[in-house]
Amino acid sequence: MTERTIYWIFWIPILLIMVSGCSSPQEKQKQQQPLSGDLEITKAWARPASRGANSAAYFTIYNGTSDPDTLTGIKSEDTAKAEVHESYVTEDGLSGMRPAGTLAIPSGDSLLLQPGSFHVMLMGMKRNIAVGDSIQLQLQFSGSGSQTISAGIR
Amino acid sequence: MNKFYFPGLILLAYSLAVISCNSPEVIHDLSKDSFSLLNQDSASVQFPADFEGDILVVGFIYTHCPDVCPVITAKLNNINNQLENKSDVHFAEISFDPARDTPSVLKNYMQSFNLDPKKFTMLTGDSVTVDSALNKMDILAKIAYTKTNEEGKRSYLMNHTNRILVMDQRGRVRFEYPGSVVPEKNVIEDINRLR
Repeated sequence: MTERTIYWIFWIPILLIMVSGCSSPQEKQKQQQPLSGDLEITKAWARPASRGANSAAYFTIYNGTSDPDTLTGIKSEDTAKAEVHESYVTEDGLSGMRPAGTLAIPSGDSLLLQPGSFHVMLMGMKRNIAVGDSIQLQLQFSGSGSQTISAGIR
Repeated sequence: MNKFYFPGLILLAYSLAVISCNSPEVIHDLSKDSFSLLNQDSASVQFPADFEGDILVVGFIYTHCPDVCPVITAKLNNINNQLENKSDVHFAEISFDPARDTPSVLKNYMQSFNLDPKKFTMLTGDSVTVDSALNKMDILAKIAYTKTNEEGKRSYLMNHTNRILVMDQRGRVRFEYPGSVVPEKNVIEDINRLR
């Protein structure tokens, strides 16, 4: 075995380890999880509310397609209006809420709508919704078109 | 004689120090205040005098708030459900939006969240009195986002203090928490400290 062979036997494994270490854990996870090809909406639920009052809906969107997508709008036959809002803390430490506009979801990423953060504000419920009921939400995406989901009330 | 009493005095001082350390300070004293408010049945309530003798857990909400305020309400309900001894504890939610949160609106809200009417009281009133009560407890709320729909109907959202507090049996605020994120067990532990 020549000195050059020993040199490469020593250094090649080290170089391989260094190159694989450059990937972030998220990138590794992405590499390990092949894209499903679908836009998946899971864990949908909403809060109870009486007729005329407001409620909020939450869910998780996973963009398993190879293209970025954007949540552009929401409709529900059970409400006068639905908008994506964001809860935030103001400069003076108060709890506030503001419209969030459209929300982009890169390919392979998830968007979480959850209490204290992004949520769908359901304005002016057309009927009482109590624990155990459900409502239908129609979500509009720029790429994937329209998807209707059912959100359980809890 | 000095030698005889000296260890006793040390022990007494230590005991007093321990007791005072475990006894939380008064944050806001409402024991001499009386705010005339209305409950969910439109009955007059003197706050906090009518709750004297009970430990009172208070949350601050407005019913048009769909995200943070329902979390506060759910926290209060969870605390009530998780308390082993509920006999001397009552819950109140004060609306900082009395213009829209009439007693009947608060009653609907209460029913939506399955709040026990024997343990929960929803409070509203005229805006001046409500504001005075809120100021006394250092609770802020202001209209922040106004929108008018096609029919000319105005709606608004509010920026507000996110808080739950616990009052002792004499109407004095002894504990304050970030309302939507405090773990229920922390509040329960503090309730037990007041007994």
